[in-house]
This record gives sequence, C-alpha cells and structure tokens, in this order.
Amino acid sequence: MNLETVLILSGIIFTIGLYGSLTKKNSIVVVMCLELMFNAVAIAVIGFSRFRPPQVLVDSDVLSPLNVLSGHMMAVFVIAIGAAEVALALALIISIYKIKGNIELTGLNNLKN
Amino acid sequence: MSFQDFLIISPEIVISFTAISVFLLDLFINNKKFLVNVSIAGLLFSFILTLGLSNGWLIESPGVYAFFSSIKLDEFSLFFKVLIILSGVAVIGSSGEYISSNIESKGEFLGLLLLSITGMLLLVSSVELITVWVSLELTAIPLVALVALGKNDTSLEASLKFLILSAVSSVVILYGLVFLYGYSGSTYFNDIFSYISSTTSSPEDLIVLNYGLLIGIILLVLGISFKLAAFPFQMWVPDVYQGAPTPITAYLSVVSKAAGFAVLLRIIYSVLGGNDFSVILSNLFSIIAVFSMTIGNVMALRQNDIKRLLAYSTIAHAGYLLIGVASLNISGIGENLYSGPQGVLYYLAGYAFTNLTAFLLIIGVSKSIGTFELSGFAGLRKKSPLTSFVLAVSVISLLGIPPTVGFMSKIFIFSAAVNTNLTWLAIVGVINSVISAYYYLRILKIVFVDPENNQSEIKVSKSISLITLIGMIGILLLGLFPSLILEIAEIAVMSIVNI
Amino acid sequence: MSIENIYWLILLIPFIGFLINGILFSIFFKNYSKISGFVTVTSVFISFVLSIFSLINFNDKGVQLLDSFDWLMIGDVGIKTGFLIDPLTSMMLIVVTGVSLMIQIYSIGYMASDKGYSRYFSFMALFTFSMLGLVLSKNLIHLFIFWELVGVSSYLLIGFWFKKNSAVVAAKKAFLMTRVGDFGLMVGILFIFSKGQQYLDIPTLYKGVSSGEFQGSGLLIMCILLFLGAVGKSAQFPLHSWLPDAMEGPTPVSALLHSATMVTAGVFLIGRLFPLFESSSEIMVIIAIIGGFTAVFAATMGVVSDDIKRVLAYSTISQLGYMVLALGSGFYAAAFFHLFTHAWFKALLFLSAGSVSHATGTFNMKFMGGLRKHMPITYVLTLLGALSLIGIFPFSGFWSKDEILGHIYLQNSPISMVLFILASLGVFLTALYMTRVIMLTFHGSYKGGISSENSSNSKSEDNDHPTEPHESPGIMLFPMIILGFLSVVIGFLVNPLIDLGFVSKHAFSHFLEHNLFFDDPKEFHFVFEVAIISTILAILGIVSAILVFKGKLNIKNNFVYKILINKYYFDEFYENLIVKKFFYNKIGSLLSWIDENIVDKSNAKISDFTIYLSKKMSNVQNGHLQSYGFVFFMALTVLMIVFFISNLNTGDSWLDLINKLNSEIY
Repeated sequence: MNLETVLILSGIIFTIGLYGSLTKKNSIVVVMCLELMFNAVAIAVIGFSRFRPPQVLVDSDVLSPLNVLSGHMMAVFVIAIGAAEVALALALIISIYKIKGNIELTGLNNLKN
Repeated sequence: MSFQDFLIISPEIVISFTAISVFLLDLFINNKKFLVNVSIAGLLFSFILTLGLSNGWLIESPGVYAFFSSIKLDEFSLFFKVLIILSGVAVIGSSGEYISSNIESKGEFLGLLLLSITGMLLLVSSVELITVWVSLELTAIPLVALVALGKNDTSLEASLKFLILSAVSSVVILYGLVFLYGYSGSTYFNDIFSYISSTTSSPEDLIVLNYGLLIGIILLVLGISFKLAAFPFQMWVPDVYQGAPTPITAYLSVVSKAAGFAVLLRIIYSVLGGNDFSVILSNLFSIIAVFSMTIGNVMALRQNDIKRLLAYSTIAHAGYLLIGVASLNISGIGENLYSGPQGVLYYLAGYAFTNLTAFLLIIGVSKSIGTFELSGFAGLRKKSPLTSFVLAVSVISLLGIPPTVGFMSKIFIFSAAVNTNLTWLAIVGVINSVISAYYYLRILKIVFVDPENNQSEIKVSKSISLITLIGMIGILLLGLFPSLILEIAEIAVMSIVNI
Repeated sequence: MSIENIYWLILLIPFIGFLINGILFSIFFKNYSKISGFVTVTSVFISFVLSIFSLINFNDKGVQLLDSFDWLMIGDVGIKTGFLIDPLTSMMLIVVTGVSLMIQIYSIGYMASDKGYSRYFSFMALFTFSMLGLVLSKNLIHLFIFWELVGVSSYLLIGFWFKKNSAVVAAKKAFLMTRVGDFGLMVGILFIFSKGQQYLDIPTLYKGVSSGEFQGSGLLIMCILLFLGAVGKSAQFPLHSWLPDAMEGPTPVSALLHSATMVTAGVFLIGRLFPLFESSSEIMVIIAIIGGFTAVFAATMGVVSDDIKRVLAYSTISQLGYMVLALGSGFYAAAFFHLFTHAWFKALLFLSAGSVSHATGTFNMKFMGGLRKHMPITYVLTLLGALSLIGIFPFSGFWSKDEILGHIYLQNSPISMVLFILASLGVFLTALYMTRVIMLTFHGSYKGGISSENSSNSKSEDNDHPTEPHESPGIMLFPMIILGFLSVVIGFLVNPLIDLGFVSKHAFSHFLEHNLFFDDPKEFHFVFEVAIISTILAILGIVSAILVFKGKLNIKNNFVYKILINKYYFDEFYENLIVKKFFYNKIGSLLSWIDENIVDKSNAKISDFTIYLSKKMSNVQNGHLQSYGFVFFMALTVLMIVFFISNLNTGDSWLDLINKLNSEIY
C-alpha cells in the first residue's frame, strides 16, 4: 500500500459523493453524499500524513509533534465539522418537511432567475 | 501558550463571550432591545481592544504569532478586523427594528451573527491551514442558521441551498488545502513558502515540480469563489440574498466577501510569496474576473427585486475586485504605489460603506412600503427626500461616478491592471461599468422620476438614518481623500508578503 | 497654531458658513433664515481678521510654500494640497475678504425682504470660499478647480432671481462665455502638464521657466490658451459681452463678483503665471494690445448706456483692461496696485447704485435725477467713488491709474505710444461717463423712479404719484462709508510718493515685487507730466459731460451713437451668426444626424443583444441547487484542464505529467 492507492481511493469516494450530491432528489441522500466527500478528503489527508512525513521540516527547527501529526489532526477536524454540518442540515430538512410535507430538492425552486 | 497569546485574540474572545451571554440572557430577559445593546457593547469593546492591539497598548507591536504560530496579528489582519467589526456594528445596530418585527428567535439571531463575526476575525489572522479551514466553517455554519431564521418558505429554501453549496465549496477548499499540505509537508504558510522556495531554481522549474501544489491552489481559489460570490460559484448568491433576512444579506455581501478576499490575498502572498506562480494565478483570476463581472452585470439588467438586483451587483463587484487580485505585481509592491492588492483593500473598505448604506436603507424603506419590488420605490423622492438622496449617493458610488469612493476604487483597480500589462482586463472592466449604468440608473429613475404608486408613509428608524448618514459621509470622504485608506492599505499588504 | 492652519481656517471658515446656511437654514430651519446673514458676515469677518494676521506674518517671513498632504496620487503623478503664499496672495486675501465683508454687511439690509435670503447668503459664502481657494492655490489643478467653482457661484448668483427670464438668460450667457475661456485655460494647463507633471506645481513652474524649460514654439500657443482663460473671466475683448448682462443679479453680487473680485481672477491668473508670459515677448504685446483696446472699447459703450449698473459694468471692463494692459507692458506692481484700489471704489460705486435703486426701484437713469436732495449721503459717497475712478488728485484711483500711465509713457517705443494714447483716451471717456452718471442720477429733477418707468412702458395701468425717494438704512450706509473712506485715502496711504514714516516710499509696489520670480528690485517713478495730462483729460471729460447734460451739446441720434447703444452689434454677431447660423444650423444638424442614425442605432443593437444575453443566461439560474453545483464543477474541471494544458512543458504528454506527480511524492 502506498500513497497512490490511498489517493485513488479518496478520489473514487469523492467522485461517488459528488455524483450523488448532484443527482439525488432526496435531500437526506444529498447530505449523506456530502458526508462522503468530507470523508474522501479525510482519507487523502491521512494518506499524506502517513506516507509523506514532513521531510523539509526535519532539518528545520519547527519539528514538533504538532507538525508531524498535523495531517491526522486535520482529519479529526474534518470529521468533527462534517458532523456539525450534518446536524444543521438535518434540522433544516425537518423544518422544510414541516412546511412542505416532503424533502424533495426538486420542489425547492421558488427563488430563481 | 502565554498570556500574550490570549491578549492577541482578545477581540475574538470578547465577541464569542458576548455571543454566549446573548444566548443565555435571551432565556431570562423579555426586553429584546437590551440584547441588541449588549451585542453592540461587546462589538465596541472588542473594537477598542483591536485598536489597543494596533497601537501597542496591549502588545508591543503588530507582527506577532500566537497559539503555536497558527495565528498572526499583523497590520493586514488588523485592517480587516476593524472593517469586520465596524460592519458588524452597522448591521446589528440598524437591525434592531427588523429583528423585533420579523425574527422570532431574537437571541439566536444576534448570538449566531456574533459567532460568525468571531469566525471572520479568526479567519483574517490565521496563518495555518487547519486554522483557516476551521475558521471558514465557523463563519459559514452560523450563517446557514441565520439565513434560515426568516422562518418562511423562501428563507428555508435559501438556507438549504446555502448549506449544501457551502458544504460543497468547503470540501473543495479542503481538498485544495490538503494538496497544499500533502505536497509541501506542512500546514504552516511560512513552511510551505520556504519549501517552495527551496525546491525552485527558476520559475519554470517551480511549476513543473509542483503540479500537486498547482492543483491545490486552483481548487482553493475556485472553492473560495463561493465566499467571494464570484464565478464559478456565484449562482447561490441571488437566491440566498433574496431569501435571507435583509440584515444577513447586507452582512453576507460585505463582511463575508471581505473575509474571503482577506484569506485569498494572504494565501497568495504568504504561501506563494515572491515565487513566480503569479503568471498562472493572474490568468486564472483574470478569467474568473471577466466571467463574474459579465454575469453579474448582464443578469442584473432584468431584475425587478431590489435585493436580487443588488445580489447580481455584488457578483459584478467581486469581478472588479478580482481584477485587482489578478494584478499581482509582487515585485511592484512598495515601489509602485498602486499595486492591485492595495487597491483591493481600498475597494473593500469603500464597498463596505457603499453597500451597507444601500442595504440598510432598503431595510428601512422596505419595512414601510412592504415590498422589495423595485416599483415600490417609485416616488420615494417625494415621500422622503433625505432617504432618496442618501440612496442616490450610494447607488452612484456603486456605479462609480465621482466624487464617491466607488469611482476612486475603480480607478485604482483599473490602473493597477494597466500597470501590470492587463490592459485588456481593465477595458473589459470599463465596458462592464457601462453595462452596469443601465440598472443602477434605473434605480435612480424609479426613485426620482416615476410617480408614486402607493400612499404608504416612509418612516426610517433613527438608528438606520444615523448609520446610513455616517455611511454616506464615509462614501464621500473616502472618495475625496483616498489617501486616508490607501496608506494603511499599503502597510497592511506589505505585512503579509513573504519574499 | 501654526501658520499653515491659519490659512486652512481662512479658506474653510466661509465654506463652513456655506454649509450652515445651505443645509441648516435653507432646508431644515427655514423659520430662522434671518440668522444666515449673520452667519456669512461672521465667517467672512473671521477670515478677514485672519487674513490681516497672515499679512503681518507674511511681512516677517516672506514667501512661504506650504505643503499639507497628498491629495491625489496616481502612480508617481501626484497632487499635493498646499498654499502658495506670496505678496499677490496676501494682497488678494485682504481684497477678497475685506470687500466681501463690506458687501455682506450691506446685503443684510439690501436683501432683507427677499425670499431666498439664506440661499443668497449661502451662495455668497460659497463664492468667498472659492475665491479664497483660487488665490491660495499652489497647484494649477487646484487653481483650475477653484476657478470653475468661482464660475459656478457666479452662475448661481447671476441667476439668483431665477423666476426672472432675463436673469436666467444672463446667467447662462455668462457661464457659457466664460467657459470658452475656461476651455483655453484647461488646454493650457494640459500643455504645461505635457512638459512634465511637476510643473503643475506653480513654484516649480517658476523654476522651470527661469531655467529655460519652456522655450520653443509651443510657448506662444500655450500662453495664448492660458490668456484666453483670463480673457473670459476678466471680460476682455472679444469675450466681454457677458459682464453687462450679468448685472441681472442682485446688486451686491455685481459689486462683489462682477467688479471687485471675481472678474479680477483673470488678471490674477496672468499675475500668477507672470514669469511664463514674460518669457514670450509676443504674448506680452498681445496682452497689452487687448488690454488697451478693451479699456477704450468698453468705455465708449459706457458713455451711452442708460442703465446705471451697465455703465458701471462697462467701466469695470475698461478698468480691467487697464490692469491687463499694465501686465502686458510688464508692470506687475502697477497692475495689482490698480486692482487693489479699484476693488474698493468700484465696490463703493456699485453699492451706491444699489442704494439708489433701493430708493427709486429702478436702475434706469432716465427715471432718476435730483436724488442729491433726497439721499445726500449716497450722493457724497458716489461722488467720492466717481472722482476716484476718474482719477482726480488725491483720490486713490489717481495714484494707481497714473502709475500705469506713467510706466507706459516712460517705455518709449512705438507700441507703447499707441498704448499710451489708448489709455489716455480711456481716461477722458471714464470722466465722461462717470460725470454723466452723476448728473443723470443726482442732479436735475426727480423723474419718478420705478412707477414712471412702468407707466412709460405702459405695463401698469395705475399711474401712481412718484413716491418720495429716501436715504438707505444704516446697515447699508455703514459699509459704504467705510468704502468711501478707503476710496479716498488708500491709494496714497499704501503706496505713497514720499516716505511717510509709518509707510515707506512706494511701499506697496516694493511689497509686491518681493515674490518668487523678481530678483532685482525695480525703481518706481511718479511721472509728473503724465499726471498733468491725465488730469487735464479728466477735467475735459467732466466738462463735456456737464455740457451734454445741460443740453449744450447734442450727441444723440447720429451714426456713432447708434453703434454704441447697440454695443457694436456684438450680441447680434454672437447670437445670430455664430450660435444660430454656424453652430445650430450647420454643426448641430450634422451632429444630430450622426447621433440619430449611427450612434442611436448601434446602441439599440448593442442593448438589444445584452438584454437577449440576459434572458438566455437567466435560464441557467433555474432555482435548482444541484444545477448550480453542476455548473460549478463543470467550470472547475474546464479551468483545471485549461491550466494544465497551458502549463505543460512543450513535449510533455499527459503521461509525463502523471509521472511528474508521482516523482514529486517519492
């Protein structure tokens, strides 16, 4: 296993997420696809962090756990913030359901032109 | 972490504490006007702290790092902090009446707005990729909720569109950041810069060796175009602006855009610095600028809703601003007085005055006439001469006619473009200004010439009158004495450049 | 307080007065509009006191160049705000604020019952501000801005009674005719700019001239263009005809703008750019001839006019001609000495005319007469002003006019002899028309004023008995008395022939020469024989005017009279030939054809296309958020591909690119 493999995996997942978020009618599915895209990025960043330790920094004086693990940290933040977005999205979808009675994205086009 | 670290982010701390206290007070207090006052007090206190930071009352001098070098307090971030906080004061100060009549959850409105401001303040001073992204999300997530607070059909629709598209944009930005990190090995701007510098011997080499970085930069720029309301991510703008509560629209159009440009400029000048990515980036920004201007202006021609019209005008202005960003004459900074980024900062300051004045007046007037349709503004001149005059000044400034700040900022941006051999771009900008004259003058015609078609009495609240008058004075003052801002802008730009 | 701030205050306090009157009292507190007169008087008074301070300071320090801050910098082309303080500026500050102060006080009485009271005073304050800005400017761009502002305030004030058609027409005429000159000035300034942007700064321009930067063929054209500006503003031939019409404005306006200060702006401009003009001998001759010709030309028209203000207007043109003549002959100090004395006595004469019309209701001298008994104070003051204007010893006009005449006399060249004859003729004519004014207005018997004018025009049916004219109120007489006193003494006091102890010999002339461009002090002479000649001519003029008045000489109804009363047919020439025949019929119709058939049609095509584009594009904005996202990702993909292709090294294929990406990682 090397970085290439990880990046290709990340790319595939990202594309699946992208496809879903652009084509699915159900807004919850769209939100799930968004989450897939977030996770694709998280995979990529962990891959970079694992396979490409910061060589440039070895000879510089800022080498610290913070630098070595920054990719992992980034992944943690991505997961956390992704969760926040999903929570917000679900809240919104519930409100929309209360008003419109469905959660189809196709119905949401009053604002246009 | 030392005490100084906390001093450096004291404005952010104050505002976030104010936000939390507003949430809490909302539970116990019935007089919601008080909450507005608390919010403004918090913002003003943090404004004083910001001044303290810039004057050396709290720390020795700007240019210091905090929190493991992830935050840098320099003249650039101070410039934007002042801009953001004052715009925040204007938005909150003039939306008291709007909140009490149109918004159910008043405490949440104020608190979320304050949290979003906190995010912006962090964003403009962060110099590390993770911090940049977290602050971006901190600005965006409260805004989604704020757009939804209108509690009606359109507001919810706008909010869901905003949420999903903003999530898409932040994924793209994040992918860009990951590429930057992955190919340089660090999340710190300075380290990325030194990596790029160490691997290059000539500009051609740089590009060949760093395709990975190039992917990262392009993804980043296109993702940030969501924040800038620029092509290719401009399509959410009219829908969300129209659906959102008007104070939030004003906030989005001014503050969000300013923060977007701040982070864009900082990444260009701190990460890429003197390295010669500038040709590629300049082409990229030129294309984005041309599309944004043209789309914004052409689409605005047929709008009848004033909020939607101004939304398209915002897209066009993002295009003008991007001309300034495209004029990335790094070698010219310091020697040539009017470099593009300096013009961008001046433009943003002037645009804040102009657009806030326009939007706040629209809040005041539309409350009386009960519609956002342009035709509702007919005969405004007779009903309220002063309001129409101030509106006329701000529209003239948007159009870019002297002696307003809009004119001077366009002059600086276009001349920066000419100085960096982007004359064609300046010409496209001028043609676009001509197109824009059609719909701006149409507003003036409706306000000043058309006969009134309803009898509603115009009653603009005192706070809006006061703030828009200040805004009008600012428009004229900055237009007549551009050096007031330009000198500060030059220092600010110099403080972020890595060479 | 630093000296620089004092000049800022001098400049800005009238502007603040303008803002207070124009915004507070004209819009918000209309009921308190009576305060606005007080506001303007106070602001001008403060400026006046500060001007005196600055004059004293100037005597200590000499020429000062004050740079305040960068006003506008585009690239390295920059304009700095700043003041050029030289003797000319100091003198003009005193003239502008002093005369303005007197006239504002007078206006409180004169305009008391007018509806546009605070509008009037706000415009007056605006004018004072613009004029002060003009004389203080250190930079040609600022000078031009204030020059235009002065023109605007003049336009506003001439057309002050905008319900009167003649006032509107006169305001438009004044504005358009001075614009012809302004255009010349602007092109001239651009000429200077083309020689180097630093020369927009006037002191640098002086240095450039003295180091010979402005030699060459362009110099004459540049100077003619700049002089055209002065010709327009100072109503010199052939752009003179707006000034008599400008008398449609309120009389204090005529006194301040169209005699004492604004019209001297042209003379001031020549003085300001004097080194430039002096470096070209041809332009100096042109200036002198235009000035000398105007001096006589305008005076002849003054002899026959029946409107007292128009006579004074022609007199102003003629006196300005003297100043231009003096400048053209190289007598800088003499020209501005005459400007200085002229400001006071001409303001006085206008105020007297205003006072007379206040009593009779008309400006037509045919319906006046005999006012000597009714308004003795006005009579005496008018007499003092007239004697000063005619140039009778020892009134102030005598000293300044004789200085000009004397210098021309001493120059001793063919051209100067012609000029001297012209100038002497002007003296005779001046005496003639001024005496005529005095006789028609104050002597003889009263002919009924406004009411008999109306009945003679058969406009009003009720033929009232002429109301008894009365002396003007104290608030109008007070400034007139001060001006009268100054008209008598100021000429001798500031520029005496002998050392007076507190004032040294030729103090004023020497003072004026202490500027940036005169190196060697000059000698000033009083030429005795010239004084005799001019006095004889003046007395001749007075006597012949009295003879005409008594009926001993009949000048009416001959050929010359007809030409003069029609102002040499200049208005007809401009109106019918140039405006109607040439511009309106020929150029206008051509342009309108182009406009309709080419410009409009192509515009319509372009705008149709834009609207069509707008329609098409809004189809994309269909409200579905997923299509927004789709557009975004399409654009992203296209841009990515474009940038990768464009940045591939020549010869690299896509495979190479992927290899490069890999090689970066490992």
